[in-house]
Amino acid sequence: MKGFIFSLDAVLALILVMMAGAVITMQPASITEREDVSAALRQQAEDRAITAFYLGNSASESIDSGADYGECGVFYELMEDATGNNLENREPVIKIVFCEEA
Amino acid sequence: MLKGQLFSVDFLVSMIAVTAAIGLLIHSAEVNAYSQKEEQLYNELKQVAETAADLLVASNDTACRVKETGEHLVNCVNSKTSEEELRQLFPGSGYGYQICSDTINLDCGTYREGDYYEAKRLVVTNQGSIGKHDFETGNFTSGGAIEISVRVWRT
Repeated sequence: MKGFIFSLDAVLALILVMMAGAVITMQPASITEREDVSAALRQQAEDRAITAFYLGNSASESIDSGADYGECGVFYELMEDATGNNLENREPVIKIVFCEEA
Repeated sequence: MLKGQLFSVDFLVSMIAVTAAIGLLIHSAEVNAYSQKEEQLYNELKQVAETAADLLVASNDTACRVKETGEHLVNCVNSKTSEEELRQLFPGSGYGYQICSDTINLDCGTYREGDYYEAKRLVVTNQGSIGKHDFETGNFTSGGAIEISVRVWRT
């Protein structure tokens, strides 16, 4: 092929290698970011649960069920009956879902 | 090869490609080293801020105490906590910090714009110890849950 420096195969291989390199470099950063978001949401869920317990609310009341929630649902266990704090007799816990608002 | 030509065109083109590849590799190594250092700094700030926030909501010096039982309540902060007690939540030197909320304030507004890490906690606050009856009826002086923000940066 007159005028061609590299063959089509070589160009394709180069593109593939570059794409693979880019994917490998980008992956760890996105995982770390996702872990950070997840940890922050878990913390929020814990905080909401305990403050709702203190204030005599149900933590699930503080979550807008009509909102358009984004990624990262976090499951958290919560006091079953949040009304009436009692130091001697702690209530059991249930599972709730807490997600980032989109 | 023409007469007087030292290298073939193929060789020259491949040398250019190899030089560019080595350049890219060195650049990529530098970028990686820089981002690793940045990440290390970020993780350090994160650890200091998250630890301070955890201590703020859970340590005996800052958490609300139930008068009758002497228990301390996690995620309930005594809004009468002294500035000195709040400063003890952070390492002695090398860091700037602030705590901001509606009821607790430590150097709020002093941070330098830019590289800081912010840890947030949702708490209730109470002025001093709380009576058992007030606790059981959810009668905290903050009236509801408030957000506390702990910011840490390098000095």
